[in-house]
Amino acid sequence: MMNNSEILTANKIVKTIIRQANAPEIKILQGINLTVHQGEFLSILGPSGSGKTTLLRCLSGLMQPTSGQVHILNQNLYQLSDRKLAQLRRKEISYIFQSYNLLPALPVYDNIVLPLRLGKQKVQPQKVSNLLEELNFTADLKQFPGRLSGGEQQKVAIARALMMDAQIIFADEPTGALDSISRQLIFDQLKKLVDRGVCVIMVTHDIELASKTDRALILQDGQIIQEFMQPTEAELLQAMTSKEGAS
Amino acid sequence: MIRMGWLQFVHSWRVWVTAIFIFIMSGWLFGFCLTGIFTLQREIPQLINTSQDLTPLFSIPLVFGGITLFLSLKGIIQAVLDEFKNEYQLWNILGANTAQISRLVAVQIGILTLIGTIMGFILAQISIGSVYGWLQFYIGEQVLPTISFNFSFWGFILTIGGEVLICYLAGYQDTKRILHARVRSNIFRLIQNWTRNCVLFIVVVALIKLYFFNNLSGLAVESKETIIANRLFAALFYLIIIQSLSGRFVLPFCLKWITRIKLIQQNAKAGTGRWNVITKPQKMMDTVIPILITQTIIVLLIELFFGIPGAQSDPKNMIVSFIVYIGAPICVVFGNIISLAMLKGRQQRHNLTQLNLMGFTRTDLILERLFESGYYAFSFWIGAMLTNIISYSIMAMGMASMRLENELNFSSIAVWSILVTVVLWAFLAVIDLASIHRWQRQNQLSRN
Repeated sequence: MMNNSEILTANKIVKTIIRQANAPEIKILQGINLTVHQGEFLSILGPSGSGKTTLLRCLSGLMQPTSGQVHILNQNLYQLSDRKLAQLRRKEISYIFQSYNLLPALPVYDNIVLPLRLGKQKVQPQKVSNLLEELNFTADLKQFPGRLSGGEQQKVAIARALMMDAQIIFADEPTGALDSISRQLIFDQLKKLVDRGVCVIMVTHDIELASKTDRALILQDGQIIQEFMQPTEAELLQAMTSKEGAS
Repeated sequence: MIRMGWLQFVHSWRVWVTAIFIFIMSGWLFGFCLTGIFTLQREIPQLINTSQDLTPLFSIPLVFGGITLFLSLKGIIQAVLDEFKNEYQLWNILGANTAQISRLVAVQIGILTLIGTIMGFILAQISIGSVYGWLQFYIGEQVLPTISFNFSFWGFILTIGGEVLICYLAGYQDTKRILHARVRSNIFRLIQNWTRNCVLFIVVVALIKLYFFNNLSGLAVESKETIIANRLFAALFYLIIIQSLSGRFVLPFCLKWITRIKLIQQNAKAGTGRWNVITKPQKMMDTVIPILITQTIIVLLIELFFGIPGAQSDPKNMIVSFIVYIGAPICVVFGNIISLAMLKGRQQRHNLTQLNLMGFTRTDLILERLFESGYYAFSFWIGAMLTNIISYSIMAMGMASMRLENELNFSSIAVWSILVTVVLWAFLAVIDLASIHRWQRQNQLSRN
């Protein structure tokens, strides 16, 4: 049973795959339990192959776990119909990936308002312009994503999350492909979202950024092996280097 | 959604346009038939609803062609969804449900249909006189009086409107089915496979019974030709079902075993081509099976018209029946095969890049693709020969038991199969060569 401030709960999430017929199963996630609260900035770290992206995809409805349950806003994610899941994605859940966040066929403006249009909600063009001004977005709204820099594309993805008043954002290496200035800008925007009460769950390799989040989980071999509240860079660095050395 | 469909079409038009051939072909067919119908009503209204009414000559192909078009689009939609898999997944992630994505694809198909149909209609206007004249030559002026064909406004409107509507609905339906199939449970797939295997088993048993129970003596003389014709139609029905349900597994399996020669396996080009064919049953399904089914129908008609004595007593009726009932679907299937082959040709760049990185030169790539297209053609030939032997045997054994003379030699059917095989190989090879040329040009551009 979720209490009022819990926005996501995951119970005994297991994910196994079989790469080839007659080959043994590979366990990517091994019984993960997790609770995330409203307005929380959670980062997930771990060495390559630890299952971070798989965990994020299972938590966000992009990949069905082999067993276990995920509840978002009191709804069992994997028991929702196609229609209900689509509604959730238009209104409550937003995604920011390292790259390929925007539909290349649609100009910037249409990319931002797409979830609203899909949900047949009214679109306020002025709100879009104000949002982009806040994000320091200087390119033309009629531009296509292919002509934007990585940082600008991420700003558009954030603007889309803001337009739909998403309550929870799943971000997979959102700053991974950016230069240091853009990286900081985007992270600051994510922090601002959290200050507005949005929950952000972010997979990252960046220890410095993770140290600025509310909670950090260290994943290894599909299990959460350490958890830090208000993590520091030193703590995370030590945790990561000792795990990498051990593995 | 229309605006978003338009934007998505503008973004992906290069891919869509490779599939335009089927829409041009069906635009030609619709344009031909509807112009014919309206011309008849204008020029020879006195013959409408009489025994000499020519309207069925145009209306029946229209109906059968429309049905075939509706059923044929799935392969094209599948190929386009595969090409833009990441984008349509992103649409889904951003909140588009299955119905909305289906509408998105259907709008794009509608736009492509509009363009293709207009082109086809123009071609129909140019060619309708010549085609009708050719039919008149073979069928006779008594059956087909001379008519002057002119542009028909309502023919144009109905051609465009009818075809766009059919393709929009087919696009919507097929996209929805494809998207739902991707999330179907394992149990559903098991039931689907089990059902398919049961149907196959029943049909194979029925075909075996038809094949071995050939003692038709003692039947009335007047009904013998009809009985043999009915048995051939039954054989055709069973063979088409067997080809559709099992072709994608059986043909690669046969190919795998026949080409287990060291000479092939140890050769980089021949061996790679072999594995590329064996591990892609979907391409076999989309490319070879429709041609195999069409070939089977044509061979059966050849056996009917030229093998059974007395069947040639009314050749004009035979030609008209062929054109009216089979001609239109064959045109649409032919257009579909070309569209699919061109679409699949486009999707080769990833494989070509991989092979190039592993050391294949341009010549190696060409040879590898020639081997691949050769294997597809050879698979077709295996299927065609098996099918033709079965249908010919059913006809020949039935006629032998009734002491009727078989007027058709199997060698003419075998030659026909070889001709189709060679044409298929040449066609696939040309598409592959064009793909390699395009890939190489894109590679050079990206390096510069």
